[in-house]
Amino acid sequence: MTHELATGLVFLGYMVGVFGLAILSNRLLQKKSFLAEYFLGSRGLGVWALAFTFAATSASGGSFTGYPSLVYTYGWIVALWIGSYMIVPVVTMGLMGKRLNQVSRRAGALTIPDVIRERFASPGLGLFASIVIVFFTLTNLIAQFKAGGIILDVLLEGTPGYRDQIVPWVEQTGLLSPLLAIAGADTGYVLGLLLFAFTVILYTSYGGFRAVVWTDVMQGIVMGIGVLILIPFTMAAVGGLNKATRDLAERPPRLVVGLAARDNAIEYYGKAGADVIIHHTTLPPAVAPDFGAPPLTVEVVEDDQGRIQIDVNLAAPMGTIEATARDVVEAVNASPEASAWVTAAIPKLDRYPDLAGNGTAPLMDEPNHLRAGSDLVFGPGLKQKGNGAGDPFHPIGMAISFFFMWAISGAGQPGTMVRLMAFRDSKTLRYAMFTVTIYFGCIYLPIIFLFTAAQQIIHPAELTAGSDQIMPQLASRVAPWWLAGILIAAPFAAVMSTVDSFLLLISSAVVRDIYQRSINPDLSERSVKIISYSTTAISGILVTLMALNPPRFLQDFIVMTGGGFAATFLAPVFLGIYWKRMTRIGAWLSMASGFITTVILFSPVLLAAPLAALNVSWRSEEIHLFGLHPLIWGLVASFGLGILGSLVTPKPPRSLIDRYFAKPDLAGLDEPPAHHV
Amino acid sequence: MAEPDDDPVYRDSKREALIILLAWATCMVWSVSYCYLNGYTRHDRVPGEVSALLPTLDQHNRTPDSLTLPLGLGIPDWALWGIVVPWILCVVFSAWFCFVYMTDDPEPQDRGEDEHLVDPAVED
Repeated sequence: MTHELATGLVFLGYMVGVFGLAILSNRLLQKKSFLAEYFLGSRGLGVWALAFTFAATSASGGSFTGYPSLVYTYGWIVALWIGSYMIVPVVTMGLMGKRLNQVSRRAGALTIPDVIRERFASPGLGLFASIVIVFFTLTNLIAQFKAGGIILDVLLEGTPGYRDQIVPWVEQTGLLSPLLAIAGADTGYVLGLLLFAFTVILYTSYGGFRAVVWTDVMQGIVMGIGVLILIPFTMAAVGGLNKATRDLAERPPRLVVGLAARDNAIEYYGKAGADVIIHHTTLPPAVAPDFGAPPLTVEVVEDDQGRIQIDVNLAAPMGTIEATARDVVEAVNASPEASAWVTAAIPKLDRYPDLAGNGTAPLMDEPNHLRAGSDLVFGPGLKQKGNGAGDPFHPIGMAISFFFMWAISGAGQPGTMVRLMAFRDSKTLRYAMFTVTIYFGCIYLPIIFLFTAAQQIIHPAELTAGSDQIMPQLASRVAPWWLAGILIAAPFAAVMSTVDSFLLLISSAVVRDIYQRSINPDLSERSVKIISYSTTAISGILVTLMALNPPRFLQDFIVMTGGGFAATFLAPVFLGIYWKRMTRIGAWLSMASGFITTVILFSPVLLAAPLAALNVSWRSEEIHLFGLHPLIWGLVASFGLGILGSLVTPKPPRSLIDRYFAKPDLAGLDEPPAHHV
Repeated sequence: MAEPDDDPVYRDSKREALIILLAWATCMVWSVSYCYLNGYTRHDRVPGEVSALLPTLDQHNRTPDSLTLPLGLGIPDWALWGIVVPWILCVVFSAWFCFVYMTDDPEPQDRGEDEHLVDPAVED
């Protein structure tokens, strides 16, 4: 049996499991109060359900696409980048879990906007919270759907009949022509995206929160097993981590000649000083080809001493040539010899004067940089692309920021907070917290070992769809056929388990917080059901359409939405449940300032695509004031103004304080919350 | 300020939250400092950024030939002591916190949440 067939079988079994769980969930849904069950599982999660739904939701698509891609690209420094995950489960679950669960029960809240609305007795604040959730969740979902599409495309690639029959048939019939036009004609990606979207939208819409949690448990097990099983196979392939790390550290610098459209690079590197010589030839104007012809050509030959000789022929004088990175790569790819993973040395470059060689660096619009293997073993790493290429990847400011990013920001995510409203009792929380600690340790640490070692197994040029592909590629390469299916399904499961909870987050915000609370409180049970099902489905369809032409680098967008959520929600919820003095005005200032600060600091990212379409040159990285991530400034603004605003406004009414801070017998729990405040 | 009528869940949760924040801060200070001082090949002091506040650290610039892989695990020395060992200690801390320190408070009164029980809040 081949990898592909095994993968297909596992995928099929996985789909059967997902839909089976959705059907079971829907049956439960018919027996309980619809909204409380559909959006919160009737607040009855046990240890395993809480642990795995928490872990699987946190372990997003980025964890199995973007994160391995970063480890593969930047090496060991990513251990520091992800280091705060050592304490993430305790912070994200323990910091607010027990107390938030209590407040949400006292408020009768099903969603985070519900909690905010009741704690501060402010429907307007609840509505604002819902709108922010919809805004940031949609952004995140686009990135997640992209990951789902890519993974499924790879997963289906070798399935018998898929590439040679189904894809050509789709192309010939023109069935998906409008979608392909938007997506840039990548049929495999569009098919993967559509299949992914269909699956996840269907089971989430139909089964609700309970289906999401149950599939999270199943997916969590798949992910954990996948990573753990990959370890021995990868280590066997590289001769052990000790050897892999040593080989990496001793690897001479690679010259990245060019960047293709999707991150892959053609590289020449070598063990000896002058294995490869690169000549740059500027053609005289008289023989320069037409503008329509390639402005640059590359010839690669092996000389009589066994060295690789590369001639890079420029069609215009250096300095005026308009060759792009893509031109370089296409030209190099045109020479069969160049596609070999050859040994090499480097021409002299201004940035790296110690390196021997002839000629100058290739001209590129997004220059990549020479990286010695030691750059992958020590910090701070080098950014590889964009305007900041060659800058430190993880300077001290970012190292500090990412401890806030994962742990503190994780605690402020509505998707994780809502799970803290759903567990049965505090004993469940304690056991689940420890379970997640073990689980994260078993996933995030081994991924560092696996994908630094993967440098010795897979060359970047082989990742034709970008480095986000590294996990399925590694699985296909090192695992035997009977394991490949499970391993390839792991990132797919991770993406699905994040997407399903985000879809519910959007629909709960729209149905519960916006429609039922603000527009029509007297909805019948039947209407609530119809609106809930259809809102979940329509949200998914909209995101699918937006993901057809998705953002380039997945992790940037996930980090952006995570920061936005935390800066907006952490302070009002944290202060609201722990500080009696927190007032409605304080909460308004806190949420608004966190949100606005984040959007302003991320505006270069948000505006990059629209401005590029208008041919306006624009930096596409977020603004790091004083070298710190925007999240930190969002939190400073949110906590600062929340506290200040509360102190200068009158104390909240006694009845409101008692309801959420006093002993049960003094809290007035028999009264409806937030009335007559 | 704690009051006698404060709910025990509120009181205990606040105390536990403080411990958690202290643990998080300890992890951050140790891991970032250790890795930065022992795992970076250069310490750029960029004007206007947080790095400019640090003293000159050129003597700490790591050289590739100084790499060691302690215990034969294949993990660079700085990553082992800066990340992996603290990670293991965090698992121990988590066990202590979850099974020794954190209390099981009396279950809060569950109002039997149902969307029909809760009317929309009203601005005052």
